[in-house]
Amino acid sequence: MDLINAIQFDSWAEFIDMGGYAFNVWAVYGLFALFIAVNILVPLRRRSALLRDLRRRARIDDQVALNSAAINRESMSGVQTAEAESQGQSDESGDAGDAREVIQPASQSASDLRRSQQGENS
Amino acid sequence: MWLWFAKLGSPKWFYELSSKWLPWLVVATVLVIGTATVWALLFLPPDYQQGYTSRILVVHVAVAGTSLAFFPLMAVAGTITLVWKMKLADMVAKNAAALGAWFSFITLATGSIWGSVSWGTWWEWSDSRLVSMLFQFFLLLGVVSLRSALEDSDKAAKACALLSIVGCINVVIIKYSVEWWNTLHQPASPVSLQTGSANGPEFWIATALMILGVYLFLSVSLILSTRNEILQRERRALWVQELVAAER
Repeated sequence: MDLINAIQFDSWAEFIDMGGYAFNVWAVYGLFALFIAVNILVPLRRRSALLRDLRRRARIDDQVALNSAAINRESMSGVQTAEAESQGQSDESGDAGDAREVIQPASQSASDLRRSQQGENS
Repeated sequence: MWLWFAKLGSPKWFYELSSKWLPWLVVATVLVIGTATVWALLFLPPDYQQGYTSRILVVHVAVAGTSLAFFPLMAVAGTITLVWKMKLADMVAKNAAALGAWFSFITLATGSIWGSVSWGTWWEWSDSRLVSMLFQFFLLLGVVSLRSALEDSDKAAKACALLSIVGCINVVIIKYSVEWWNTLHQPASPVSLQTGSANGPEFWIATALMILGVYLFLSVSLILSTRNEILQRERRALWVQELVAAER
């Protein structure tokens, strides 16, 4: 084949030797490969570290929101049981709903909150 | 018009667009650099004077030529930062400085390795091309450290923009150094049709291909680091939080 004939070397040893300039030629191509690898891999590693950190922060935010929701729920239910007999419930549940709205973060913990809300109602 | 301009500089817009383009850019980079490397290492005939060391020049010329693009790129980004305060331009400029320092270093190292055979010396202080390229390396390191030295990120962006614009003078000096002063480094070889010499057609086609490949690699690396910069600086933005939640 034409392409095979166009290869400048007859053997592996000749290819490695580079006409006596093995050190210089391979050092340059090795350095070039290293240069490319480093400047692709370092940004990629930094990206995964960054995403891990952002995910951790989001989890902490969710946890804080859930905790404060739980505290809020406890105090609200205390109020409700004490005053449910004497007063109409519509006002109270309305207030509780508002309070939940305020503390709800705009993240996926909203679904958790809704679930716990349903559990409380049933 | 201004709305369009503002959209162009929006980190979110850049992030979403680059998500679509990145895979194709990576494929193109691998193909072009792969082809150029195989071509250079297997098929290029030995130069009648330099032998196989001429293969070094394919990499050296491509990286060196591309390294001259950094200061103009940073100067344009810096001007946009200074005039329109576009966030994205400064993020690109910040990451370009570090990558440009890498390019300059590889240029110096590969040139040195080639010179050790062809010139019989690794370094020559009296050569203007070598010294001006070394100066570019230090200037780029200077831009990187200037940014980390200034605590006010707004001030740092402005100072770096200014230094980038001034630094363009050095690019002109590097480019014409081989013509203004005649010491060791040869001027750019004219394209020749003579085969078997280091400026023959096989050589300049392989080198042109490698230059294209190195530019593609530059854009991939710069886009990757700019996307990281966006995620970090915009981490409080709703779209970033949604993106992080979606990748969980």
